[in-house]
Amino acid sequence: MTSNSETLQQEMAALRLQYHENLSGEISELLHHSTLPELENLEQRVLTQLRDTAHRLAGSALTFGYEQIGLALRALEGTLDNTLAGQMRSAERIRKALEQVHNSAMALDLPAAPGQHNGVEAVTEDDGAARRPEDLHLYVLEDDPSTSDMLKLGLSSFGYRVTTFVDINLLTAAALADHPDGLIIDTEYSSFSDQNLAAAANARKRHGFDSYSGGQRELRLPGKTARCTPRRRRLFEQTHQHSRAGIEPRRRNAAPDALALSRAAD
Amino acid sequence: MHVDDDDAIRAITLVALEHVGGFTLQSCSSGKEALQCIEAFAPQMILLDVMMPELDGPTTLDLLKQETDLGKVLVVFMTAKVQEQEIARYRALGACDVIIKPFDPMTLSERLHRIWIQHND
Repeated sequence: MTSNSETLQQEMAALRLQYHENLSGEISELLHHSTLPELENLEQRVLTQLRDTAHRLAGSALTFGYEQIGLALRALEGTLDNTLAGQMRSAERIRKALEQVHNSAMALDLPAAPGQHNGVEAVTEDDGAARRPEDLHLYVLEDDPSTSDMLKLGLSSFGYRVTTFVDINLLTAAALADHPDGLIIDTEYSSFSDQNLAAAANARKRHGFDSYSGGQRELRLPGKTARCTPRRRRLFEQTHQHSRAGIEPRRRNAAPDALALSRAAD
Repeated sequence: MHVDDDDAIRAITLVALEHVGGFTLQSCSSGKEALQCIEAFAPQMILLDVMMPELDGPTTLDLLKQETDLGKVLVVFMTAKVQEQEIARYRALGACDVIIKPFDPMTLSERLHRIWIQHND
């Protein structure tokens, strides 16, 4: 691979990451309409706006490779087109199409928009939104160079300070010395062993890091909340089954968090 | 010149056409912006999204024709509407080709190169 094509791949990956981040907010804005009591009698102007948004999002979602939600948005666009053309006027059909978009968004495990989970649920907890990305230093443990580069590029594009590690021992030593604000750990990291898992667990315990607490695990970043999918959680549980006894329950708003990142899922 | 109201599509098209294809691109977020930029940028090819708020693609093309001489400028519409009559309509409006959305960013520049060669031989 030439350096030019590597750069291109990185740029594309960064754009995709950025799109993934933004999609949640766009979808939640769209889905807001599904809760409107006046959905039965939406004005032509509102229907047109909805249709235009669905059209725009469908096009970009499909271009960025989000087929399921892209098709759901396309179906919503078609329903709204038919409604606008006077071929049918069914609030129930619009609601169903919106529900389909909602379900597709949930399946995508989109990062939450500010103040929301997966674009649909409100978050009531204080997530330290006052801290800016540039104030946060993230450590990434990833042994695949291209994934590591992509993460660094993508997160840096949002302003985060990012340091990548391929060796868990180096990461642990650095984390003990520098107290980063967050850890991003590949759950399929090839060199995980009982020994270095124990070292990581010990580091978390010592500094209040808790990447999985048995309940809903969250990464808290300014204005954003990433939630662990069931699949990621299972992977994480499998990976950490020997060391979980050493992990204290999560102390809310008290400590840096860690995001278990499944390479396969991303 | 690329005209599309979607920020994400403009961003990925910019990377696809400038970095992959070596084109020089003027990216516009609306038909109105395209009208403001057309004289200064003097494009050889216009990639125009069909469905945009306020000024849609066909209306934008119509206004661009009034604003400047598009005689040798190739106009390519981008659309998700793939029905034959729609495509025939865009061609009748003056498009030399139509690219169906969604498009593959990695092959977009190649596609435009082919269109360019096809219409300049």
